[in-house]
Amino acid sequence: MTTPKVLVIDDEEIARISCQRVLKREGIEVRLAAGGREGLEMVVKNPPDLALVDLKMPEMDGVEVVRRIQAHDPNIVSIIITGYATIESAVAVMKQGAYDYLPKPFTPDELLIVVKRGLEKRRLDRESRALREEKEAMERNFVTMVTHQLRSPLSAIMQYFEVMLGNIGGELTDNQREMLERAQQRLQGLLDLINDWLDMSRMQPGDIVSRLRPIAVAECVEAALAALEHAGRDRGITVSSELTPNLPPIHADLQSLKEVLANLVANAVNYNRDGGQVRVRARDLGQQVAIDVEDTGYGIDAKEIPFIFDQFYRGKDKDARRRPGTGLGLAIAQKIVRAHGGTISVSSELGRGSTFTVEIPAASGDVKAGRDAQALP
Amino acid sequence: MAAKGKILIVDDDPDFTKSTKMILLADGYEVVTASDGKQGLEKVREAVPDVIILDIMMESLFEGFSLVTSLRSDPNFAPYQSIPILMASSVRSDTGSRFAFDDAEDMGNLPEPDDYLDKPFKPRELLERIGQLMARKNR
Repeated sequence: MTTPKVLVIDDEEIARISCQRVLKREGIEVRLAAGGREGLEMVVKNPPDLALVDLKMPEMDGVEVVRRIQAHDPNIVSIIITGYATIESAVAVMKQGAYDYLPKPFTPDELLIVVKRGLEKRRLDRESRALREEKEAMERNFVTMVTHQLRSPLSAIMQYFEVMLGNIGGELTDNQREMLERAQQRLQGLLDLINDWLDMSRMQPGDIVSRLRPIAVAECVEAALAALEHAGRDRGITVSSELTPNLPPIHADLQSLKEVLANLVANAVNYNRDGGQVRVRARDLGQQVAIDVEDTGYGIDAKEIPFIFDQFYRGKDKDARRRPGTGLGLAIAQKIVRAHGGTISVSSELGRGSTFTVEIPAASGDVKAGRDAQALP
Repeated sequence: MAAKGKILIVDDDPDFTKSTKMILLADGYEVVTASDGKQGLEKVREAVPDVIILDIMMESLFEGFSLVTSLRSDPNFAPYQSIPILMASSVRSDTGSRFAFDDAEDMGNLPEPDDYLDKPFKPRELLERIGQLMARKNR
């Protein structure tokens, strides 16, 4: 660690000199100022780690000096030196941002204890700031890293599969084709996982909150179903919607809420049995509108329900496991719904099907929805 | 048989270049390749392609765009100005816009390519898009 720097601002020369003598012995670099103005100049030119400031000085009192030091750089640790009679002023100066105070007269040991504790605080502050900055940089870089460094090579591999399975590199035997198709599916699963992961880390609840506005439930449901119309066709699964007429508008972000519904419908198709059904319904609950996505699929074991919204959690059911999935879809859905100030829940019966319910605040009812959502982490 | 047209692939990933080239060759196109923006511009002059497939994320994001800028607005490249550009990237365009940038200002006033396709290419989709760009060029 670099030599700690302490600035002593005191109008009494004897006090300055004795502080200097004690601190220098500990390997601390000490500079001295005889008044507030001189001291503040030194703070600006060469900021110390810690400033010892005498409370009673003729030119500018210690409270003002500390206030200005803190205004210039709040990370400098200020310690006020004060006589017994002025404890109250010491409290006042603590309110201006001083870290500690040292009553006069003090012994060298007392001085050292207070200064060392102040320097330790400074070191910890610095460390935690550096760590926080590092963490933020890592999070930012992580997204970039994942996008480019992972997606690019996987996409390159995927395109080779496309070429080979398109018989462009020559005719394949049935065996080769089957193996390549399996490999391609596994790779697609990995790409899906990375995409979901990126969605999860990029999504800022604040962004959603800022886009909340009154929208029609039907518009949102239709937008969600548009891309999924034929999703279950090859397995004979039908997708239908029944919306109660005269639903109130909801306070929502169309783009992200549409993704939630599309995700729930895609799940309802994915984890359904062949020939099954998916129904989307909406109900007016007064303050909220509930949107139900009901399927006739495998269902979820009651024991598993508390975990299904967790990141990377996947059901234990063997049939369900065989279906593609990243374990992130519901976690993303929950994050989005919560940013809306809403809730997402599920009721399910093993072997018969599940109903996922999203409740979103009605636009006319509770205009506080956006503000409530902002309070969420 | 005469080639259907000449396609220039500008991409720094040799595997992408190779598999894309195979798709195009199998469909009867002639293919020229370049592995960076500078080489790409040289190949534009030399080979005069009908369509350019350009990777947006080469060395830097800027490399792809600077090639587009040169082609579209540099007087030295005036004869090649109207060659259609299909821009490609494995960065998913997921924000509703065609380009996935966090900050719209990153785009500035950069010229838009003629079309955009996410990597990995599906052979049929790629050939469809190329066909459309060829048709546009010949119009």
